[in-house]
Amino acid sequence: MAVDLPQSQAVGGTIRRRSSLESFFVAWPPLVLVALAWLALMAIVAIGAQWLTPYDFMALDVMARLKPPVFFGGEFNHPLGTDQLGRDVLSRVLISIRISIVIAICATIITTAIGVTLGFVAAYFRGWVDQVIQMLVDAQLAMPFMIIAIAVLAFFGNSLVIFVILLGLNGWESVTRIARGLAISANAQGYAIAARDIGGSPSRIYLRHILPNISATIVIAMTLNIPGVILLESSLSFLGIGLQPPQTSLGNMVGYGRDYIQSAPWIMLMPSIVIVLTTLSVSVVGDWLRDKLDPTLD
Amino acid sequence: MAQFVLSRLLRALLTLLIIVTFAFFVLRLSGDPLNRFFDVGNTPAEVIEAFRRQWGLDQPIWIQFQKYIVSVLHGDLGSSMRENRPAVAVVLDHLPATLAIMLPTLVLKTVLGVAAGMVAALYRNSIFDRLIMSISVLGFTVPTFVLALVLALIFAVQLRWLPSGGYSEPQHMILPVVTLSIAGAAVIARYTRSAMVEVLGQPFVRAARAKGVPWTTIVTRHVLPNAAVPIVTIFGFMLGSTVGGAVVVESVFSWPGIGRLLVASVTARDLAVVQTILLLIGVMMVASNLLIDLLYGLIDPRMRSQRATS
Amino acid sequence: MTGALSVRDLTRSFTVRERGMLFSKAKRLHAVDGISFDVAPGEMLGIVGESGSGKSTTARLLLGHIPASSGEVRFDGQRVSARFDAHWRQMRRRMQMIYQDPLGALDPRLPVARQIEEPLVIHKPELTEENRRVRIGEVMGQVGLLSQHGERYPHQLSGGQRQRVIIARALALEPDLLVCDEPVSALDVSVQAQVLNVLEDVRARNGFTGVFISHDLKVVRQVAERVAVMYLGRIVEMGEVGEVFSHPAHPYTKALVSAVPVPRRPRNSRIILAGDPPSPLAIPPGCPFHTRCPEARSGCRVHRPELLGTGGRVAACHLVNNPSLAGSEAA
Repeated sequence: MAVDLPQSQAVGGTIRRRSSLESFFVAWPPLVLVALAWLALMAIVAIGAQWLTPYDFMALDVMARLKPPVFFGGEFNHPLGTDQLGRDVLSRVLISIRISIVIAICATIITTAIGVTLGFVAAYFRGWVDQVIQMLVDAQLAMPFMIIAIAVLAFFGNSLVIFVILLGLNGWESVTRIARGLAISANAQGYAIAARDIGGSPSRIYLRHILPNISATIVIAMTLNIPGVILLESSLSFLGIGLQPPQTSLGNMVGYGRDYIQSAPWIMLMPSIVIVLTTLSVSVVGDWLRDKLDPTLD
Repeated sequence: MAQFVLSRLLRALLTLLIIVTFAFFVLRLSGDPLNRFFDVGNTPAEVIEAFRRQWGLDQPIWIQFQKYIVSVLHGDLGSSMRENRPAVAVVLDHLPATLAIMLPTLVLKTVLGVAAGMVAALYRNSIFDRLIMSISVLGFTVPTFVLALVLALIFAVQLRWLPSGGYSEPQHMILPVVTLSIAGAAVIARYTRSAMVEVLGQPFVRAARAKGVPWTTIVTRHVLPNAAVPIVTIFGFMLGSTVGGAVVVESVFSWPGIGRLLVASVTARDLAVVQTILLLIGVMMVASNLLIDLLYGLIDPRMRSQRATS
Repeated sequence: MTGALSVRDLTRSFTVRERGMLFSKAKRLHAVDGISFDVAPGEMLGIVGESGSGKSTTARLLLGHIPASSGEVRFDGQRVSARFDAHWRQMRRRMQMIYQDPLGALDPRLPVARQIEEPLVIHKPELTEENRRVRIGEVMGQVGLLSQHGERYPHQLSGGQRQRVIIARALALEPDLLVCDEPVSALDVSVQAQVLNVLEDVRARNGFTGVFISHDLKVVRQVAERVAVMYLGRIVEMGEVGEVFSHPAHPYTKALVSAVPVPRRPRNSRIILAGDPPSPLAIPPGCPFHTRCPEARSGCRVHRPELLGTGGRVAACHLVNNPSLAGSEAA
């Protein structure tokens, strides 16, 4: 219920008390709510995909090939249509979501672990160790990671483990920079010096004092890293050098759907939409978190 | 000034060394090269030994590394298994095609991005600003391959205005260049906007307006040069992602550049070509970053005054 | 068990280069310029001086938080080093510091009881959680904190309470050497008195050797037995605190003492020093104080005075020790 001050009392404008609904939407912008809702949906799918799929994602049904999705004239038994081998697109999308999200999370954890460790090592030792690590960061920044990833996959072959580790190396340099900067400034803080003065070992100071105090920023950095991993994984899978069949991922599906772009565009469109919505949602939430918690982050 | 150039040059060389070292270790760590040539278990030991000696694989890793560097400097990077020619020749054959789309892309995305960013900054919080910023978000959350396919779907399949692949006529270039430019323009637009907003908020701008200096003069003579510095910085980063994007775009539109060559070589395990492309891109990136660094030193007014006094 | 603290010719200096110029002359900044003193076991030495006198630097040198450029510090016969190795960490068991800024020295994310407990966790791993809880309760009681304060976070406590937490943490292991760097300067006067009482109580009970640094003479007078007066990195006077403050020998000490308002003393007896203290980069020749000294003579410009005296009462002034060196005319 808005309360307006009488014009005669206001100078230059009216002062209004915000309705509680308005306040709610200021603290939680609608876009962020939608993004969070989508991510929640993705999380549910990631956890429960195998119980949600109407069909086995590998089930072939040659009689039902290339059926369009419901809104393009198809039937409800295949709401998102079928692909060139008669496999249900909806089921494949659900399973792909799970695989892509699990991989993205694992990779991000690896990236964060590497980045924080290297950042802390650089901050603790300073001197030439710091210089070397900074040079590595620069070298990494100079090369597009996609090219490096492709080269490594060419040489080392394509096992799932190597793929995930490689994705985990995507973006380590940003996390290292952030962790190093935060650690250096945290070191100058009284509590870190005090922890040293009572006899704490460096690992104690870093793990029990500095890390918890910078964790908010690190979490934000992790969140902002996830879209990049999803994009990289789907791009590599699209090119055919990422996840291999019978594994399916969102990028894979787009890759196979490419040949049917004229006859059955939904095969590539459905997973593409999921990729875009997911990366968009993570970006929106990550930006919002950053604005709320640590606007100084790049 | 000379000191600045020298230090940047040194940094570039060190980065290049790291990249070459990386390539070498990936090459060596990825399994005994002998396995590629024959089944090690079934061949007599003397044959293996002779082979080792011939290829210098029996020597300590440090010597192998030196030899590797020498051969790299001589341009000898092995033979392409698929085409039976020196890998360098194969790669250089495909390079012009990639440059043909990269250079127009760089120009187009810079122009588009800077223009959009400027409009957004100058008309802060207006409908234009919000529109531009919303669209630009899509520019970097939509993966390049999705964008390429969607554009192909719309313009090549449905509307039939443009061809969806090929290398013979100029219009074959349009979709690849546009795809790459859009993604890059989006990021440049965002950075341009924030750089300009920051400069516009500075007291000297308000002072100039108060003095009655015409707005266009303020923007072109004062705001733009100051905002140029962070924009040039982001240009360097954008270069890398454009190269990565080119790999995807060339594959989607069947454009015979080094991106498509790279993917094909990976699938065929033509490792000499892969290695060559890796090093080539490394050199290109380091060189262009060096140029940008030097450019930076020229335009950044703070560095200019430092040069004047030394 | 307490030990004696002995300091010999301690200096800490570093080279300062002017910024931006390639060929500027490097100057040496002497933060601490050759100080020596002894603190007997269980005794509390106060150190007073203006900002820039080097007292905070001295505090950190005493505990080995920063390395000395030359000279040495010995506690209980053992040399104190600033190498942060395992031995240094072990020595922390006996030597602790109380900081000026209590909020800065506490981890904002941990309840204060955990922070008071931390020295115990580090140095006495054999204690069980129950043992530790008992000890924390003890030491919190000693400083006047209630058990409910223990579960609070630093920002939820008042300045005085936070400083008490710092003291409690420093005392958890019953250290033998306690260096206090302006521990009450950031507190309101009423709270100051409480915290000082806590320190005195604990010292009466546990008997540690202490150094108390402050710019506030009244506070030093309350807690310390002996005092050293520092100026530009050197000790200019030292002795038993009552003596030094009631009968200051060095002109600088006289000026400091006169600045403390005392009821019934006429206001115009206050000595006001001319000018600002010189920059530590450009310490005047001869006696460093001569530029501001109301009693300076010509010789004071030339000869650097030594810290001389008898029976633990020393001063670095020609007029006190060696009037002939000072000369007869005014400077």
